[in-house]
Amino acid sequence: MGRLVLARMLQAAAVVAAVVTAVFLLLQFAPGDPFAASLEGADIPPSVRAEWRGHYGFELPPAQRFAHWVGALAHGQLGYAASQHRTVAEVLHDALPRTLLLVGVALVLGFALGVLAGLLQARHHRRWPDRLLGALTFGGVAVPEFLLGLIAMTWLAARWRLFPVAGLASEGDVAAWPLWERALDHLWHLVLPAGVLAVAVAARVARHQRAALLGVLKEDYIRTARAKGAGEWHVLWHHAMPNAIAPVIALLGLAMPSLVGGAVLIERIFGWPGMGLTLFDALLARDFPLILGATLVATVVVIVTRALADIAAAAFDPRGLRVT
Amino acid sequence: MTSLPARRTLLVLTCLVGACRDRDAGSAGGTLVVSAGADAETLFPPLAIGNQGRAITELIYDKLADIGPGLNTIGDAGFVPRLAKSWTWSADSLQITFHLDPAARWHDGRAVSARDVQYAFRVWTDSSVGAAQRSWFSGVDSVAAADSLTARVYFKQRSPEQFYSFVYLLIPLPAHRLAAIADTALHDAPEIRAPVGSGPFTFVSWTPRARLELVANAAYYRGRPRLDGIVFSVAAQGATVAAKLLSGEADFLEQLAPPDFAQLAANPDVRALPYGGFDYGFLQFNTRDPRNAAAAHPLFADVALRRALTLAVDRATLVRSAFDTLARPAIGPFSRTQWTADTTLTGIGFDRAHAAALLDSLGWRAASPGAVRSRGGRALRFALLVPASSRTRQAAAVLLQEQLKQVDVAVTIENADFNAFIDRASHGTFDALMGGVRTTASPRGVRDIWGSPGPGRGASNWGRWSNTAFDAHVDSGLAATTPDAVRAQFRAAYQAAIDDAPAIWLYEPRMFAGVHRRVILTPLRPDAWWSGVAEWSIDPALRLPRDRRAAATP
Repeated sequence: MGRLVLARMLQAAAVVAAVVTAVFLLLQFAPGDPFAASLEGADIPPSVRAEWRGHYGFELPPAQRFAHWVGALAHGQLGYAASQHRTVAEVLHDALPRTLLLVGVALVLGFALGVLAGLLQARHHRRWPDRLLGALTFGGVAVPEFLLGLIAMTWLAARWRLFPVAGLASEGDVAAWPLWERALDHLWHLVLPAGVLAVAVAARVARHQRAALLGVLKEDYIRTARAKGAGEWHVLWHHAMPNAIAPVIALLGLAMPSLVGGAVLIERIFGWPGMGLTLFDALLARDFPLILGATLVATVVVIVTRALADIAAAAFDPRGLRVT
Repeated sequence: MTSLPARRTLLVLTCLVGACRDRDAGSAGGTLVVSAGADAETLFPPLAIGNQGRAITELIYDKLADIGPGLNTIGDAGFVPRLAKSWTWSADSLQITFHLDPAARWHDGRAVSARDVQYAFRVWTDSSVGAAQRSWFSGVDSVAAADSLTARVYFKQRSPEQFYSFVYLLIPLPAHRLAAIADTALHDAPEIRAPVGSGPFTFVSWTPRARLELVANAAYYRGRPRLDGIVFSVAAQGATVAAKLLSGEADFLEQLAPPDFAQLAANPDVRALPYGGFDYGFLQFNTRDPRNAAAAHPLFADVALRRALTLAVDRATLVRSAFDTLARPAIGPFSRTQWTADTTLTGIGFDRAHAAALLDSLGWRAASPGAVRSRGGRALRFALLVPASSRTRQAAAVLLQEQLKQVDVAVTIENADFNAFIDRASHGTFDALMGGVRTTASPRGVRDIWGSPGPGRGASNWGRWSNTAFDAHVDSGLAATTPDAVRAQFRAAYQAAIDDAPAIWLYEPRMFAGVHRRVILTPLRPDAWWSGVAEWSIDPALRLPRDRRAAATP
């Protein structure tokens, strides 16, 4: 087990290094820097912009900049985000928990809804609930998240005013509210962005859950359980589900990269200042240290989640099979 | 001794004034929620270059004096006192003495002093700080504190805009809080992230990329602001920014985008409020060869061709199609809001037949009807670089392409990411581009954008157009000491630019703020909509729970 964990960690470190290096190299082909966007301003002389570039190290050759960045990383420093006038660590310290909350809620919600939908579809195989949920899950996979986000924001928030349009909390003297009220308000603002992200997760989970359950329901031990007089829900929940859930849990690890990717646009639409919005803004501003820092952290999050999903899948697999 | 009728009149007047005061006192208050499409990049005034950063820092910090509603930048005509209660000029105009208001206080209760002005000047001009407008102070020699309430500014040379340059851009900073911090460390010092200013609003909190909150400064030396507080609620997506206003989550939006107007028509709570804008858009020709800057551009070095193409563009139709009534055709390298603007200049009007004839006379002829014109084996075809981030420039580019096709000129549109657009523009690797400029109250920016490339001018002249008459008139205009003389020189400079056609002057967008009916506001100043915010309030009949806030006292 120890060797397996060590191998996984080395593998993860290699992936992180490869991703960060690839991103750095790709950025070298992208024109601009954090100070180019202000070039259209009439009153900022090029000499000042040149000074800024020199001050923040953008005049150095790419290899030297990367070496500096890696050297600083070795000392636990992620560099300075010139576009936000603070350190990358400070920016990520603010953004990461918000994205973890958003993605975490979306993952849990999507997983719960997906498993439930898959269960219903398996229970009513080839009847109208199966067909209806099949069409809905197909739609959930097919409709892009940003489109769903814009529709939800326009109709549910702006027109019908059922939910807040954007932001982390309501306006007003929120600081004076009791903690529970602030927490509820925060969750209230989370409903639409997390709900939109959860739709795609739920759709994918439902399709996998349905297929896994239908496969398991053909097994002999299920026939035996039915022959012993067990009810259909009992068979599904107690006999089929334990054997059908492990691959779905493993799927959650695979869903993480697309969730993080989806968060980029969803956070932008719903004004949720997390990692996605940070990365998006950093890309527009060509804030290389921030892009590298955000990529590094996002990669680590994805790898850790994938590993946790694998461990959970192995733990849930009653046959004791090791999932890799 | 006053007569009875006179005393009655006085009594009525007193009652009216009293009633007015009571009504005013009753209507004061409320919290303004501003829906913002961008966040402040910093709360440190020397580095706050974006509109949002300027708005917030100028609500927190006061200037020595502020520009007047006429936006005059010559001398001190129209400027209104702020931290400086008054000022006096020396006989030779090389020295201005500012007398600070003794009631002015920093938000921590300390008096604003001449040392704060002195310190701010040092910070603004220190290259290690990196203030964007440092060059504006190149004419200032030094700042001295004659006493705690008297700051004396010494100039190296006289210039018509010396007063404007100093008071409009330089914001006094609290030396007692910042002077101990090294200049190189100021940009991310904790004291900068929780600023202590001298303005009408006090900083409360800032969640970057999400929201920033200010409350009324109850001890403000010019009287407590009528609003209790201001919240800047940030969203990056344009549709979200507008949706916040339309749903009632926000009260004010600085600039409505064209797609917002359709929704606005169905929303009785929100209105569009027009105010002056400083933007103009154009198609800029590159007069140098994109592959070899030393050589002339094979097409656009020829002024006759540039004029012919300008003649072929129906700008009125283009503006109507791309903007409806939300813009008007541009006249030249300026915005109508600038005080040097002149709407009587003679432009190159639209005449397609004349344009075709002119192209024929230049030797650019089409081999058959509908074919692209050519001359000496070279087709009259060019690429138009457009930033993908600007929907309006993209729409205008497509319309231009179609209009030029009518005179058998082929245009290929090249969409580029904004950074790529800037990169190619600044390196001159383009034939023509769809450009846009946000000018300022001062006309001096025109020298940088349209002046011949060379020392002290033309740094952002991406088309590398050169015209000595234009340069001379701009220089003379910037050196003239009376508004009439400045206007005359700029009129001549603008006319030279129009005649020489370095660009097709396309449109000037009209600015419309989105305002919720809750807001009782004063007229918006084109260069700074926030300049009168201290006088705004929220209608008491339309207050919400979010309006309750306590003002700050030191």
